[in-house]
Amino acid sequence: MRKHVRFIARILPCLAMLMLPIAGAVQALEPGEMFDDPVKEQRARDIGRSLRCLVCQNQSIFDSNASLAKDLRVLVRERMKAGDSDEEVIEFVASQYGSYVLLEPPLNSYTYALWIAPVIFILLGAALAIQFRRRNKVSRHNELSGAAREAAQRILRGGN
Amino acid sequence: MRGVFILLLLALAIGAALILFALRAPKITDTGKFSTLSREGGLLLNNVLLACSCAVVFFGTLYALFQDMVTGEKITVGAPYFNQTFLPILGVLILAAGVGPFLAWKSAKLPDVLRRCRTTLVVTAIVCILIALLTGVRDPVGLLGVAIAVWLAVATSMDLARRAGLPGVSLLTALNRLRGLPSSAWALYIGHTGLAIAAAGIVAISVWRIEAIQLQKKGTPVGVGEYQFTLMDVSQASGPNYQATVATAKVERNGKIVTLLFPERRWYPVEQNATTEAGISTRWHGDLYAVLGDPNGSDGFVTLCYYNPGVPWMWFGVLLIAVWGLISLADRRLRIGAQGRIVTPSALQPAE
Repeated sequence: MRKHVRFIARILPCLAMLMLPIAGAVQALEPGEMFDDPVKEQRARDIGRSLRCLVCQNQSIFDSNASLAKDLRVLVRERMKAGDSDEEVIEFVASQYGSYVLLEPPLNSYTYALWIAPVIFILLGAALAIQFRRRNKVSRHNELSGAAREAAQRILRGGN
Repeated sequence: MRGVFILLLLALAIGAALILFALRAPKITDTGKFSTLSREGGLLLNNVLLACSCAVVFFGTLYALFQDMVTGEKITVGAPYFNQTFLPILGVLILAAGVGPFLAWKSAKLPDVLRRCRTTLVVTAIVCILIALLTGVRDPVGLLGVAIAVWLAVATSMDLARRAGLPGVSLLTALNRLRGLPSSAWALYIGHTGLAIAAAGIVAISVWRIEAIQLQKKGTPVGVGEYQFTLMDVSQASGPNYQATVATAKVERNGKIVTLLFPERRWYPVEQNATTEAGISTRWHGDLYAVLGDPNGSDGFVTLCYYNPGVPWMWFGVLLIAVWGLISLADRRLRIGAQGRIVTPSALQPAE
């Protein structure tokens, strides 16, 4: 029981954290950081949206106005200037800050369960539904025989 | 404060659900037999998919926490995970919601269902091609989203037309028939229409959203799609416990003023905290949205201007679903049933 209470005590602040990003849109990206080339700028924004601001509550570095987020945005742009591809930039940042920085969890031994879970849920749901169907199947005995069906349809049409 | 609020919310949601289940569980019995292809089968699929999507959100939300507790490895499960897992389930659910009303209770005939699906598919394809041509959307994922929303809208309106007897009867007869439909039938049609509208809104904002971030000087227009945002004036104001910098931004389309937006920056001296209040103007097709950023030099400000299409559709669609869900509870059959005890029919007796 104590264990459960402690578990809930740990869960609640995390649930509370989920609510935080609602607290108003904040201006983040500054024009001084931006590329002149719109295609390159769009790439930088897309990369920024996939990286987590480490001091924020599940906010991307694109959306956050924290100074650390700004540093990361500048780092992303520096790597892009050095000629890195999108994947190389993201890999570089992850190698510096750990996979915690990736908003999309990578597929590795820590996240196999996470990525396989939706498939398991669907299969489990299908299995339960099939089992339910087995119990609840229309048995052939309840169906009307040919003659009885015709008689029933005659009655339904209004004749006798 | 927030913790207490969430605790109360959880207690209300989980507590109420558990109490309801404890009270009603003994009364839930199999009341009828049905074949797999039937309205009941459709509702079963509906419940399985809804339960799966709930499970995915729950598991994804708490997974990082579990991982940290068990292995100490810190990972982040962000929006991209939910987009890739939750949205496909929701997409299948919306497609299935279109087919659901085609299924007869107890046992549906496959050729009949397929015939109606084929008609829906043809109409959906025509509408989607028109949308793709008119808006220039080429992104396959975006088009798939459009197709899913249109599918549900077409299927729902075609089923409603069939219930009204169209195209075989006069318009007056059809309207009379529609008036006679029980409120539970209306709940189906309006609920599904709401789902289609909300889905269309979600697709619209993911495909057609336009953003512009820049250093803007007073009087210089910024183009956001078909709109031009112009920073007109910036003035100081004070609220009960804050000081504010309020901007007036003019939004024009084809040279005509559409609306004025008043984005604010607020400074709360007691909390030593700055916040921004976006200036939002809601049109039927979307929100015009402006955020005032830091001042830069003499008369320039960092501004964020957005056109967010479909946002009002998301709210309106979800509201329709909720309101008609409540109204459907007022169906005559449920009211009558509530007065007396519901007699559960015993198992099928052999005829003698």
